[in-house]
Amino acid sequence: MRNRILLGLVLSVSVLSLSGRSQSSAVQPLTALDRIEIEQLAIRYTYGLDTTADNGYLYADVFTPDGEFVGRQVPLTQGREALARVARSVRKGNPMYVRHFITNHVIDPSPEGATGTVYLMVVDVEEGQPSSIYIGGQYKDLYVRTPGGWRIKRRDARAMGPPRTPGL
Amino acid sequence: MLTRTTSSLIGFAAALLAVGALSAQRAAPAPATLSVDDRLEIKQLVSRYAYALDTGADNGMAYADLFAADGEFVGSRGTTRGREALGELGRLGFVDGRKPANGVAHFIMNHVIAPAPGGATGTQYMVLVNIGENGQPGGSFSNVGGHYEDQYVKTAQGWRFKRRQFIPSASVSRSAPPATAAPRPAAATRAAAVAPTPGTLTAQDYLDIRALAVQYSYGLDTGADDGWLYANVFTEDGEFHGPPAVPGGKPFDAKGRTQLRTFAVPGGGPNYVRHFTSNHAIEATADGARGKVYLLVIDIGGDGKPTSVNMGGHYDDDYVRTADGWRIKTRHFFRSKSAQTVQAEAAAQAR
Repeated sequence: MRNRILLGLVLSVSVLSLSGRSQSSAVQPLTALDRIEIEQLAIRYTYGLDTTADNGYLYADVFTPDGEFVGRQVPLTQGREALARVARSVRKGNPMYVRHFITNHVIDPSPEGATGTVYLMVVDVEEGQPSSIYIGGQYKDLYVRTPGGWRIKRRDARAMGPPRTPGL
Repeated sequence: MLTRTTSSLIGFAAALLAVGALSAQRAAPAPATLSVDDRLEIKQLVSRYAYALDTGADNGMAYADLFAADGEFVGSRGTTRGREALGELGRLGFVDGRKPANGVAHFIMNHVIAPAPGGATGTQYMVLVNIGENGQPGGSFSNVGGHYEDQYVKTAQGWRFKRRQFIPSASVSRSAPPATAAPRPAAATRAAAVAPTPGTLTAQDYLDIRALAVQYSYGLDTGADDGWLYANVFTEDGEFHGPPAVPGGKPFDAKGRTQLRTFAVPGGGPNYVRHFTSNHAIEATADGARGKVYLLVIDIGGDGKPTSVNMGGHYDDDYVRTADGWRIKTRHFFRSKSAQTVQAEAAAQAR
């Protein structure tokens, strides 16, 4: 009898443990609105950076409060205040300025929420001046759902590579 | 006339109508609509195309697997059909058996999707960009630019390319149609199934508004339907305002579809791409929605001329729901200016 109770307890604990693990690692599907909100998030990032709106906080608030940006020249920027400072440091930024063109946004559900990759082309284009591409590459992102909506938990902009691709 | 009417009804550029292989499937019933999820999955498929091609992932087979089992790609090398042959395309440009893991080159924008017999059709603009190597500053636009014409089919694995063709940008000389042409009414893009809740946008609303802004580019570049494809993106009393093309020139101001239409004629023909849009931010307002869209006007090179950026900036839009679906009520274009230029202009005006 005692052995049966022990076995039952062990099985119960095992089942609870398994269910807890499966809950924490379960990948929830993304709804259409999830995908659209994540796309809008990535787009708001560019407006935040190019316009420096709201004293840099439009940019910073695209991230979670502990969100982080990793770049090639800036190893790590983490937290709302540090991220806002990055946006404020864009000396050319103003409501008329466009520079970060993004496209090809792939989004996949992940255990934390979602992951994504986005193509980036930074173009210097201004009336009366020759246009040029400053840099390009990919962002690799981790998104999480917060009470305020989807936010970037981590954005990695180190992924820049040379093109070796014929146009197809 | 039939082609014009069809184009107007479908509400997309004439390029969509040129997807010739559709004729083989005309017996199949056309789906009434594509769901929001269908449209988003097709959009993801097209985005994955760029990654698969630029990275050569899975030894080129990631590219091949974006196509249906009998799918085909049509380009300058002719028609490529079948998984192994498509995998070879995915490996083009390999150096030492690989491409860079994070290479980027195919920038794809302006995606239009429409239901069609057997699945869906779509078009996008593409410009191939040479980004500075190893993340170093610099880069240039290649002379490869144009548009894709696609057929999509839903398989057990999801949406796949049934046929994808790349058509290089080319403008054709066209004579302007009569300036007094009678207005052609806009076709309904979607009838409101339920009464909308003011101040909120559904996923369908976002997609409809996004499609509206994309159709703007096709209408302006192709001049399709004698300019009405462009004009009908706006409400009947819609407005566009933009700065002059050259300093000291005449600003672009138009109100009403008849005036707006004149911006799009004669147009460059069905294969002409120039207005590349991206970064479309949309938000609900009390009486509809507003949005901002980035624009790069790219002159694709050829015949010894390099590809160049003519100008860039952003659109600032107000959208309203009409009986025929979402339309642009007002669109303002602003050229990109740095804070230093804005300050210099303000100082000059103050003097």
